[in-house]
Amino acid sequence: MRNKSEVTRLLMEVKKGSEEAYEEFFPLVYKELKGLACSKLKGERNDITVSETELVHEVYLKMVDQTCIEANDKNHFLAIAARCMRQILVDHARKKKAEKRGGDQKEVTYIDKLLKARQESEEIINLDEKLDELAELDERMAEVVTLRYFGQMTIYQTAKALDVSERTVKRDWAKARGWLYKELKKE
Amino acid sequence: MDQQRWKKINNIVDTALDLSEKERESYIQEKCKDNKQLKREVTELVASIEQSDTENFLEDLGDYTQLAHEISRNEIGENTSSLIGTTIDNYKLIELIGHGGMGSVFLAERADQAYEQKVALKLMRRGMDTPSNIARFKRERNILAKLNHPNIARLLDGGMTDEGLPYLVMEYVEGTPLYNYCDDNRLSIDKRLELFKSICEAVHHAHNNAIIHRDLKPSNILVTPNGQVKILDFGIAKLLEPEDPNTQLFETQTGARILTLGYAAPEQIKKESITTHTDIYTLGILLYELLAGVHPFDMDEKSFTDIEQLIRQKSPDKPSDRFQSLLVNRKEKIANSRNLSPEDLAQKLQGDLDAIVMKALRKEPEARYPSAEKLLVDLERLKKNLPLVARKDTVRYTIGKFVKRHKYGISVAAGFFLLIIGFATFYTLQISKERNQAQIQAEKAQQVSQFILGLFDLEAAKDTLQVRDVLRQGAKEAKRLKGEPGYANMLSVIGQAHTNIGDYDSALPLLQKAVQTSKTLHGIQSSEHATALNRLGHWYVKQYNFKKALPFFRKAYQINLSIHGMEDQNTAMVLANMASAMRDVGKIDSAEIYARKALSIQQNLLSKTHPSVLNTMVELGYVLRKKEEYAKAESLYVKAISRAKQDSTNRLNMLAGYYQNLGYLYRVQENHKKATESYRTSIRLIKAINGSGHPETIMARRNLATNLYFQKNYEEATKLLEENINAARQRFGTNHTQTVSTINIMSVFLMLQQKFEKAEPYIRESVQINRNIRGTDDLRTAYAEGLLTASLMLQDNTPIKETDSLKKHHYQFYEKHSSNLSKSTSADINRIIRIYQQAGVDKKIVADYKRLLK
Repeated sequence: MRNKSEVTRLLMEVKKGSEEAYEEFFPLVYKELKGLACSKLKGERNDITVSETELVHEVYLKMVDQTCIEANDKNHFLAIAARCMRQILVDHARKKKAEKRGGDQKEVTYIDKLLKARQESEEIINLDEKLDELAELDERMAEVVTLRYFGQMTIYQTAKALDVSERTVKRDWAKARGWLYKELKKE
Repeated sequence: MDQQRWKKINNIVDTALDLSEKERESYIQEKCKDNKQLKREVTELVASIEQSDTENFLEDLGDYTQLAHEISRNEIGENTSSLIGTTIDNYKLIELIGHGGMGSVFLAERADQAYEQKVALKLMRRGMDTPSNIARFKRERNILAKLNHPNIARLLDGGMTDEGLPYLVMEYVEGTPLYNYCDDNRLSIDKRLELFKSICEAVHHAHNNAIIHRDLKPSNILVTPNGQVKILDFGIAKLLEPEDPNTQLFETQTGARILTLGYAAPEQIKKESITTHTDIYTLGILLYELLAGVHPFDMDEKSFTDIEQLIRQKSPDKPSDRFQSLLVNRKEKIANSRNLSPEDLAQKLQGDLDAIVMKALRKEPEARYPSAEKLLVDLERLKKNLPLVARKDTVRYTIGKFVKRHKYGISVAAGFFLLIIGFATFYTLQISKERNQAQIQAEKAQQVSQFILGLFDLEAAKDTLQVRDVLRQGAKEAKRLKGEPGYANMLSVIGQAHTNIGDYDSALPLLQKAVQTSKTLHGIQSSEHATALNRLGHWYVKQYNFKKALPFFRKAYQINLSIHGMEDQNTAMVLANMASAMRDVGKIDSAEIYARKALSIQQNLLSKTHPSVLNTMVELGYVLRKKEEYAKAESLYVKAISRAKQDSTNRLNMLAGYYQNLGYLYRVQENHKKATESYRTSIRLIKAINGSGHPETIMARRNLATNLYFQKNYEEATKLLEENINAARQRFGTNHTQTVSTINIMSVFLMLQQKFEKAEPYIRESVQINRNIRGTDDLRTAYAEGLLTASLMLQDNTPIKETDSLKKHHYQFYEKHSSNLSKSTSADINRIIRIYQQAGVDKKIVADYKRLLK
């Protein structure tokens, strides 16, 4: 991993809106999160004692130099981590589905457990696809769902990360949830 | 759909969501005019939004385990004790001396031995995670470090551990808590006043330095062996408060209830701004207790909400009056520890001391003593028999207060009960007359509803059909209350009563409606809403749909936590419910944590034989049974059963349930004889209470039958299952899920004994009923068809054509869903497999089914 100050500098760039920095930053967090998730299973029982929230927090502490950032920067980091988490879970669900067809059951991983704690793999793939559709109509709404659902971020954190009011987040969350519900349950 | 169209829908929906149901409809109509498609899409989206909210769509399990983790960390864990012997910066931790909501306190000493000094090190539980929080912590710490007064324990140092946890180092005080010191030494009133004055001086000194204590309480005030007062934790409460009230720094961990309610001022409860007057109020409470030996408010057996209400609204009795009203024994004990007779003590309090205390305890901050110094002045004048500041406004104050005092309305209890049996109008009148009393009424109503629920749980429920009619009537009458404060609770009580008598179908719409209504009437953060959520969750538990139940419990938990705090009956009950749901979704460790926490709260607050305590004990037993800790589980069950028997007010159906659990525990240990015994006892009880057709009676018979099957007592088992079918048919009718499941069980039971011809008519009926109520394309219908296929294939004269088409139909349906089989569908398929395996034929079919499970 790169050193903390470098990562922190990247985060600042991302916050300012640099897409280039984002392209560079996202895979770093993805790799770190996934690596940590994979190493978490050892010594655990059939219960998840470490949730994504803690996972993300651990990665945050590991990657970012907290002495030189502002309060709201953490929320930006969390937002990126939420998108990574979505990617990790969906990638894993797809892989699992493919393996299932092949009939080859691999060892259970920590990500499996995270996945199971939310929904079965099929459902998460469907949700992912519908979220993309929603993003076509209303990007912010889809973003709110990614942050709230995959990143387990609070209303407040989401509002800060997206730079909108809490009321807006609440409203978006309610509407997006309703829309997804309609789309996913009608089948 | 294109973006433009979406924007249009989105805008209409946005406004519609802000409107009431009635306005909404006309608004949508107006906006959409003749555009039927637009109208349909808008209406659909609004409906889905509401439905997704009610169903807690996209709420997941992640944070339940997180929560359990937090709760377990809150207990004194190995984590904390394992720190002993380690060093934080320059301090070596020697011993754990305290453990509170914010963190742990250690006895520590300087590790570099620069000078020998024992210190108290307070290690916070949560880290400071932003630079601005860290900076503020340092700033506040520096201010506090300047506070130098002989009666205030000094803040010596502080910093962050390597993990980013803040810690504070304070002067270590070896002393006795204030009240203990006074009582142990039988200090006279005058001596007590002297001690109190040094407290006032210390507080005054701090106030002059712009520092407010915020959390004064007797446990924070120690007296050293040489009689010196030391106040601990001055200003710490502020120091640790997150700057931004929305950050989760302490909120999630401790439920933000750092303050101790008995010593909180009205403005603290109202969450208004805290000033030096807040400390004056607490000084008033301390003085009250030091003098009269009793807290100004009677807080025994009251809920958090009740106590908050008292603090906000009720003016306390004068210390002398309150003392006089105590029981003789208690009066003697209190007076004796002040070296006085009860009469003398009362007399000493009357007049001036009463007035001083009451002045400090005024509800309005600005009506109290303006400073600790002024309070001191009055105490000095008292000593010199001069007229007091405190007495000037007493009369006017009292009269004003009297006028303001709430006139408690006529017994809502009576109104409420009558309503249930049909006198809704009477109640409605009462309510509209006293609308402003809504809050009080709602709380009373809560108690009454417990009472009513008790009734429906008990003897009355024997004749469930009649009860059901009464309830339905009640639900109809309740509609007249629409919009009234009691309405939401009414709905959920009736819903819960339906659940209790096993009439689940009628219960659901009422409970859902109660959730919605309580939200609109009382707000999201109301105990009414929490109760409604909890009851709806309970309904899902009764359907064995634990995953769905969880989000409701979690919401209820969060609400209860924020209005009642953690150490509260309501919170504990929801925690226990969460435990039961968690263990059934396979989160055993979390379930254990929830159950243990719930039990420890309940044991602190309730009697040994209280139903909640017993239920949680059994819940914990259940969890331990799942962890295969059988001996521990058995001892919990047995203990709960014997305690339940001790208390004749306990309901028999609880006891029946405990025997069910005990029976199952014996069964998994293959002690079928003892299991059968327990089941028999349980059935005897359940039937007497619930009647023959209650789902729980049916389940009890089924459990006993299963056990008899293991003991090869087929005859009695068959009889029981037959009884189940008849009872269900009578109670629910033939075309009902309950009935069809009793029939399924009978047919499986017969097939496992190779009685395929005998099973056939049963299973044919099951297929028919399933098709009637669920349609042909349904997983449960597929199961019935699977069973029928088996019964036909395994008979001597298999009707080949029919069997083939049956087999094909259900198998294909299963196949279609095989990527995502639920637990119960997998169990169904496993049962079918077992039938074939038992019959010892057709390996190919077994392999086919097994493939589905992969």
